Formats: sequence, structure tokens, C-alpha cells
Amino acid sequence: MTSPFVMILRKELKDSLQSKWLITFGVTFFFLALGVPYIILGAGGLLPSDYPGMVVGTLVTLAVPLVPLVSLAMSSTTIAGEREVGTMEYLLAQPATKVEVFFGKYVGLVTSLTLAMFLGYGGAELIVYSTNPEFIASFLFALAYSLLLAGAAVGLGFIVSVSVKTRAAAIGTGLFLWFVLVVIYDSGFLGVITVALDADSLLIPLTLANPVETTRILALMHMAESPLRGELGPQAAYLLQNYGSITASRILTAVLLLWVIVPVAISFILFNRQDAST
Amino acid sequence: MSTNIIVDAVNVTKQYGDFKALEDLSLQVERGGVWALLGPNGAGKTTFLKCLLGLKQFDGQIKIDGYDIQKDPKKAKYQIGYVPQHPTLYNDMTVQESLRYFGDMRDVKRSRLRELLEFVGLELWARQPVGALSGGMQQRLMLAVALLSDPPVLLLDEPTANLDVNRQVEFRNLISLLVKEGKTVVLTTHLLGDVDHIAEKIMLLNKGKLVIKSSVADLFKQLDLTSQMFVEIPDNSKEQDAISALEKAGANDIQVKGNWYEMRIDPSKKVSILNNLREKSCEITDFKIEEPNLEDAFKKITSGEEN
Ligand SMILES: Nc1ncnc2c1ncn2[C@@H]1O[C@H](COP(=O)(O)OP(=O)(O)OP(=O)(O)O)[C@@H](O)[C@H]1O
Ligand SMILES: [Mg+2]
Repeated sequence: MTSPFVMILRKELKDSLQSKWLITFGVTFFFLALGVPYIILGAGGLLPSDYPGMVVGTLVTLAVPLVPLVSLAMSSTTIAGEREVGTMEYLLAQPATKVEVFFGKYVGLVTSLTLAMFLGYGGAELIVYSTNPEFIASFLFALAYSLLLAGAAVGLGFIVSVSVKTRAAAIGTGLFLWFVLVVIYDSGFLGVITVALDADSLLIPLTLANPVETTRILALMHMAESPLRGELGPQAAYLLQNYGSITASRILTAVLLLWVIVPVAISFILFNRQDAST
Repeated sequence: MSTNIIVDAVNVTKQYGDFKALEDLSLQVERGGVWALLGPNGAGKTTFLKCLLGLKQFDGQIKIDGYDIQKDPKKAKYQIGYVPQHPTLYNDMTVQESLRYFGDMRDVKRSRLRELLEFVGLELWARQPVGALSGGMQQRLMLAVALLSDPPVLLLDEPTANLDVNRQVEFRNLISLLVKEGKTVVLTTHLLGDVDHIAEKIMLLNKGKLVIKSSVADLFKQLDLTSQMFVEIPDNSKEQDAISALEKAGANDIQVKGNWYEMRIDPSKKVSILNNLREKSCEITDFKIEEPNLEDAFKKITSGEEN
């Protein structure tokens, strides 16, 4: 007997790998961040020696908004969409438990995102390795952070997905959440608040309150120490100053891990409490 | 498990806020046959089916073939094939893929899929996407999926509501075949025709409570509903013999109109009436029977409730 968990996981994986969101994401990521400039510059013999460093920078800059966008868009619709058309209720009428249905979908979705990111980063990695192996560690870090960020965003998307009734409401709420986490935070909102309230102490809690921001700072800190020598923003600088780089990155990583676990746990508790049918 | 009770609901209450969709409902369904779950709109029929499937959380206890739906949901649900009111398979899967998908979940052999496709008459559509099937075909596909693991209980929510008359007849025939195999079928319906044709037993819900649970025949008896029988006996010299034979067989209110004898009888007495007449050598040239129908029954019940 193939367990319902495996059946549901497989279907979710297959469906998400065919999702326009994921395909667009994978292709964009691969070609824009790496393939096209590499091919053009390489063909013209213009490839600078620190090119891989520029690629890592580009990847992180792209991944921080794109990974949560794709993850939220896909995860927020997955349960709400099936609930709207009644297939969720039908699944739960089969000999499948809520745990199997929920985590089948979760693991399937996370696996598809992981595969997409391995492809996106993996292609880049090979080329970087062949040009300048010095940067390989930075790539692995970037990949790991992106996966954690995807995990966090999927968890948040699942909270949306179990809380709304229709696919349209789900995608709307999911995109709004992305807008808040990425666009609003990026628009200097943190600076405005801390200055307006004259409270520097809010800077770090407000950063940690947002998994996207947490990932970004983690990446900045890492890049500043790597051969890439990126620039630290105010948050990263503050953290480094107060905690030192090791403690600071441990704190950030721990918070990011919490962001991966807690939202999934919350969404499962909500899902488990609800009637399976309306 | 092999007790005679296959669906056992004890003190089931389902509340939406302050509103009780099911109130302290206790109800045992004996193994085998077709049970019609009847009741006006909003009576709680769908809610009850969904509680049986564990799709809704409720207070009380429900056991399916001995397995508690709340404590042992997997085993309990394994005993049930469910056909919801509206088709809810994945539109982009083909007919065959759908059967495989849900079949694999229930550990069903591949040969069973072919068998079921034939049973519901969809062999030629096996490679079509579900979304391309008509509503009636989807309904039959849902029935096939429900039958995959050969579960002892079938729950059908308004299975005939979206079918045209021919399809309704076909569907009822399928159900009769299943009952011959020993399945217990619980179906909700608005069509009293369904009950007259396939259900021997009914459960009537009203406002979340069980009003009546009985066989159709017992219900008629309880409500004192009778058939009208008409018999044509041309030989006038036999009138006294005929009347005494009829009375002996249990006929009431016998009236003679020309060659025709009109009477009220218990629906189960039809044959003995004819036999009695023949024993007295009353030659019958024609007869007809008007059976009591459920509409009469429900009018009687609901008028009784209002008073
Ligand atoms: N999710 C819900 N929230 C609140 N009330 C509900 C919900 N689902 C059902 N109800 C109410 O519970 C009652 C029973 O509904 P149910 O669907 O079980 O009735 P039914 O007997 O199947 O009716 P119908 O013949 O129309 O199908 C109705 O009054 C309905 O409004
Ligand atoms: Mg209903």
C-alpha cells in the first residue's frame, strides 16, 4: 500500500513542478543571474576575474525578494484552492489522516522549491567553480539561506491557506504579505520607525520579526566577511558591533529556523482544529 | 467485525455557534440494504453524513463497523465509500489516473480498476480527463472510486439529484446490484421516487433530530396507510363468496361497483387476496392496485407534527 502521505506528496510535487510560478522563477533565476551575462561576457572575452563574486551578489539580491514571492504564491493557494473546489474534503474522506494530507502537501511543495533552487544555484555553482573555486562556500551559504527563507515563506503561506476560503483570497493575501515583508520593509520603513520613535532598540526586533529581513542581514554579514566584501547595512553593522559575528549569525540563523518551524506548526494546528468541510 | 450494527451513532451533536445542526442524535444502522436519509432542507442530512466520515468535528460517538471515527479515523474511513453531492475529483487527471490515485491510497489491485470501469460503463472514457466528462459520468466515476476498496458501507449524498430520468434508473440499478453483494447504502435524497424504487428503509431527520427510523412497509403500517385494490369479477352470482373471501383475507371498506370490487388493504396482503378469491373459484378478469406513497406518509407525519 502506498501511504496517502506519499501519494499526496507526489501529486503536490508534480503539480508544483508544473506551476507557472516555479517555472518562471527557475528560468529567471538561472538565466538572469548567471547564464546570460556569463555567456555574453564570456563570448566577448570580457569576463572579469571577480565575476563569480558579482554573481553571488546578484543571486542574493534576486533571491531575497523572489524566493518568498514564489513560495508564498504557491503555498497560500495549495490548501485554499483544493478546499474551494471540494477536493480537500474528498481527500479527507479517504483513509488519510489530517497529518498525512497536510504534511504530504507541505513536504511536496518544499521539495519542489528545493529542486528549483538546486537547479538555479547549481548551474551557477558549476560555472563559478570552474572559474574561481574561492567563492564556492558563499554559494553554498546562499543556497542554504534561500532554502530556509523558502521554508519560512511556505509556512506563512500555509497559515494564509488554511485561514481563507477561496483561491482568489489566498493569492491576494499571500501577495499582500509578500508586499509587507519585502517591499515595505525595503522602502526604509525600519529607518522611519526607529527615527520617529527615537528607539534604536527597535531595530533588531523589527528585523527579526521578518524572515525576509533576517535572511537579508544574514547574507549581508556573510558577504561582508567573504572574499566578496559586500557592504553592511545599519542592522548588520549594529549586530556585529554588539554581538560579534559568530553570535550574531547564530542568533539570526536560530531565528530563521524558528521562522521555518513555528508558522508550519501554527498552520497545522489551525488545520487540525477546523472542520474538513464547510 | 460482524455485529449487525454497521453504523452506530450515539448522542451526536454538531453545533455551529449557537445553532445545533444535529442535536443529540442517536441512530443505529443495521447491516445490508438501502437506507434513505430524508428530511426537509437544512434538516442536517449532509451534516450527519459528514460527521460519519469524520469531516466535521462533533460531540458524541460514531462507530463504523466497530471503528471509532474520531479515535481510529483511518480504519473507520477505510470501511466507507463516499459520493459527495457534487463531483470533486481532480479535473486534470484522467479517469484512469483518478482511479489509480485513490486506488493506491487504499491498496487496490489494478485489475479491480478495470472491473469498476466496466461496472459504471466508462471503459471508453478511461483516458479522458475527468473535466471532460458529463455530470452523470462524473457521478458514476465517483461511485467507481467509492467502490475501489470494496467497502461495506456506501454514503451517497443526493446521488440522483443531478441525473436525468434515464440516468436515475441506471444509477438505481447499480445500487441494487451493490445491495445484492451485501453492502449497506445510506443515501440522502429529495426524490421520494428514489425511496419508492430502491430504499427499503428510511430515516427521517428534522431540525437535527431523528423523527422516524423504520422500514417503508412498517412506516405505512404505523401510519395506517393502506393500498387501494380493485378487482374485476364478472360473475355476479359469486358476489357473496367474493366478499367473504375478501374479508377473510383482511380487506376493509369493501365496495361493489358493477363488476368491480374496491377495497382498502394492507400493502402486504395483495397476493393472499388474489389467492383467496381463486380458492373460492371467483374468476378474476382484471385488477389494479394503488400503492400508498411516501408523499402521503410525509403529509401525514408533518401534519401530525404541526398539530
Ligand atoms: N459550515 C456551516 N456553518 C454554519 N451553519 C451550517 C454550516 N453547514 C451547515 N449549516 C447549517 O446546518 C443545517 C443543516 O445543514 P445540512 O446541509 O446538513 O442540511 P441538509 O439536510 O443536508 O439540507 P439539504 O436538503 O438542503 O441538503 C442548516 O441549517 C445549515 O444552514
Ligand atoms: Mg444536503
